[in-house]
Amino acid sequence: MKKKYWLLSCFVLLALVQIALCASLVAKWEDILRTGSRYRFRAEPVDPYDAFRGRYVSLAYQAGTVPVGLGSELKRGDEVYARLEKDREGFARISRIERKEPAGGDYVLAEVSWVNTRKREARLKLPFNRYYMEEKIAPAAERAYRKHSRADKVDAYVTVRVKNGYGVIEELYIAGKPIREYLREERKTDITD
Amino acid sequence: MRKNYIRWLDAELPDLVGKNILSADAAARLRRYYEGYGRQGQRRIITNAFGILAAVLIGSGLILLFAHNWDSLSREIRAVISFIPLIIAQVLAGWGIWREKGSPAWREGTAIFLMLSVGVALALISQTYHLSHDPDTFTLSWMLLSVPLVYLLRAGTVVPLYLAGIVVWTAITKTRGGYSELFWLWLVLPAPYIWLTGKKDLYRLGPAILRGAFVLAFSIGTLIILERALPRYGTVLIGSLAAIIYLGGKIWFAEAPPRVFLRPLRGLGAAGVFWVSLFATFEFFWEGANRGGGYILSPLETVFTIALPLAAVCLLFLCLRRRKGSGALLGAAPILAVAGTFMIELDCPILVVTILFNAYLFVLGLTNLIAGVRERTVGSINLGMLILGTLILVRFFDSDLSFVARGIAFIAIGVCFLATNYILLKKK
Repeated sequence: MKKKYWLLSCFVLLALVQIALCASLVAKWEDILRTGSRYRFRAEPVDPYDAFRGRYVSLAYQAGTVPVGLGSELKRGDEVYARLEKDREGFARISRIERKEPAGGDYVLAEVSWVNTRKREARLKLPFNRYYMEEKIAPAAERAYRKHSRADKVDAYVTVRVKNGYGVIEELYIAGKPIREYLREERKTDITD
Repeated sequence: MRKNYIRWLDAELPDLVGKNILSADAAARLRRYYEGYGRQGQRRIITNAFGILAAVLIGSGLILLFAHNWDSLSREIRAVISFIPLIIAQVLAGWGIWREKGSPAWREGTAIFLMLSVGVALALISQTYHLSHDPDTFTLSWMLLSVPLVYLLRAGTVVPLYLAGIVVWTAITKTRGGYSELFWLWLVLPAPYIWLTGKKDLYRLGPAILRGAFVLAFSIGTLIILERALPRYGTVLIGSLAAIIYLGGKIWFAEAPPRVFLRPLRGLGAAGVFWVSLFATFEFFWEGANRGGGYILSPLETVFTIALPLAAVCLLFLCLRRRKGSGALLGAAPILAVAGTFMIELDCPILVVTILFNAYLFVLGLTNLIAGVRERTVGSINLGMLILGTLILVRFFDSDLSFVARGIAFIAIGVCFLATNYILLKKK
């Protein structure tokens, strides 16, 4: 009998730890979405092969390419803190990259994808590069995203909430509308046509 | 109770009845009792397997049902739904503990369901918040939250899944430049359970499978951690590890019945020695090793590159001292691996090293074949034929050797076999 109660107590403790860990993740991301600073990131075209993998759309951002100083020691795989600010049109841009975590302001933890020493620029992989969608509508979403992120027609962007180095996607916008609303209207247009 | 014991008893009963040691009635009762036991044993395996399959299917089905309407749900609802499979699985497992349900099918089934539900909850939360894949953190969290189930629910089926999970974590962490050495710490967590199940009956299928899974996970994880040393010292590291596993199986699990699944260490070790030796018979393998020459080993890699072959040699001597000589040849692989690596370091022609390994595999195959014929063990005969057959096949298609060289070698070996046959027939 004692063994049973001891086992049950340990199991309940484990169950609470499992729930607590999952709940803490939800609480953390919800906090960022509710209280984090809002930024709009202009979308960039992605490799068609990589644009869609299973249930998500792969995202890339114009802001991800940043100039680096002469003699920069940055290399692929390095983790850096990218300080954020808004440009004249209200879209996000990276003002500076730092090795140490900044004391204040808005920033995200990013990874260096590549460094072009000749052009003196680096490409950063931002932590919000996936948008999960239901498989049935994802192909249409992928087409819409690629169509609206071409160099001659960039009207796709993502809103992100940023806090303490973390960034969480709020929504993906195509032609000024949330992706699902855009796709619903596209479907209606196809039906009436 | 093992089937072969029941078969042995069944074969002995007529003799015991004939010698009036047992009455016919007692023999019949014994027969009926153990037939039932054997059937019960089979039923137990089937119910356990069905229980586990049911858990996996129900868990997967729940996920698919939620996935159907996922996009139309708000973020808050999705976050709540992420917890539902987890809570259901926890309630089922907890109820089993409360009611002291000793059935392995229930315990194993709920443990697997709960383990999968933890992973599902973490994955659904990631999807809800469009989080970029952080596979190492995800995998480790999932595994560490699941490993206590091994002890709380006495669920052995969780162990191989956990071991696979931490090996995957090691590979991801290594590519990202993290502390993959923590793998050895995570590996220790299920070890007491594996040891305790073995204590009850070392040679039952369950403990044997867990032992095999543990050793396999240890080997793969360790080689992942040492991966930078593999191009240059791979033969030494893999050959030594495989030999240690094989010799360990021979020394410490000597009484294991002669079935592959009941001798996992010997099987895994022998397979490892065979494959690394086979690769070492190719010139391209050593050319690749030569190209890795500029790399300087880290302290950890140096320790393993020295300690593993030393440990293998110590075990080899122990094996020979205990007169388990039949394992000596397989156990000698690290010595050859070290010799081959040194020869490459000293700029010896690669062809010489490959000939050395060809000769080794040839002798290995031949000795197994001869031993199998002598002791009439089909397993050894098959193993010998497999080794020789594979060696012949790869050399036949080996474009590094000229047709003439291959032709001469094949004819010479064929003549040797004929000569041996002639001598053996004459001796009869």
